[in-house]
Amino acid sequence: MHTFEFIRPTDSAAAIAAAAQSKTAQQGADVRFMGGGTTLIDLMKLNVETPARVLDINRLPLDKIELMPDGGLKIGA
Amino acid sequence: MEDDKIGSPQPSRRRFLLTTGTTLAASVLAAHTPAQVLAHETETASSGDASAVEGAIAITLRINGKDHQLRIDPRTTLLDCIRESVALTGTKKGCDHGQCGACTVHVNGKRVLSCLNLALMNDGNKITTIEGLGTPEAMHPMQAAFVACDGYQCGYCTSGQIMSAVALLKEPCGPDDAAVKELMSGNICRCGAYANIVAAIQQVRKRA
Repeated sequence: MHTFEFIRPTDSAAAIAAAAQSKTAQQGADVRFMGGGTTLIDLMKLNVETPARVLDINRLPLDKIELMPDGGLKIGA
Repeated sequence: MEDDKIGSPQPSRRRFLLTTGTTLAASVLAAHTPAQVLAHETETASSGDASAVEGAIAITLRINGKDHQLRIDPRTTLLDCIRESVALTGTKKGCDHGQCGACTVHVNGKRVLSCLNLALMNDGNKITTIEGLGTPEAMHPMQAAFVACDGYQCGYCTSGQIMSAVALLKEPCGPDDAAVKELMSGNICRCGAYANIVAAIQQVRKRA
């Protein structure tokens, strides 16, 4: 696995701002969000994904499922 | 189950392997030049105890009720950290790619695959491993049921199976065997002890 900088943003805005500086996925993104990590960590072990920075968003308050007034569902992250 | 202590006077499989491994390594190293020996030692330090690693990060893991303050390489998985840094070897490395379930532990009460978790993502989290469930003298009911029902052959997947089974007790699960099999589908047993594993889990659920 390549080395990377591990960052835990304090809110969604900080996470978005940090990721906005990154190249797109097609250009070989160098910033990746860490959610469950089940795919990302696996691919990092195989050096398929080699992000320079990993943003851990697990502790942001996004794990909600809300019923919307129009009958839809809003799923957190 | 309690892990064998390295310093214990009783002979054990693990102690034997550690001792012979060290002797073998020493005899191999003796044949190398000092420069090669130094390189080997540096390599060993980076894969095991990360105290000397550049960029190591300090974290605290609460494992089985005890706080462990560690300095780890950011790339260390929770599995490697538990096994190599904390030396709790009850948690097993099977595929190391999240497909077999042998490395299952509980993080804040929920089951997770420790091979697909970075240790530093778990800074401050409460972790329970097989060593934290029970002891040979006072087994967790699930451990006792696995023994009673013969829920294993070689035993390599067993700690992961038991950690999953204990977590399953608190999850929404239908009463029949098919529901248990579905919720245990992330834990592979190459010996094929599935029927007895399901029987052990059902025994615990019926007695609860």
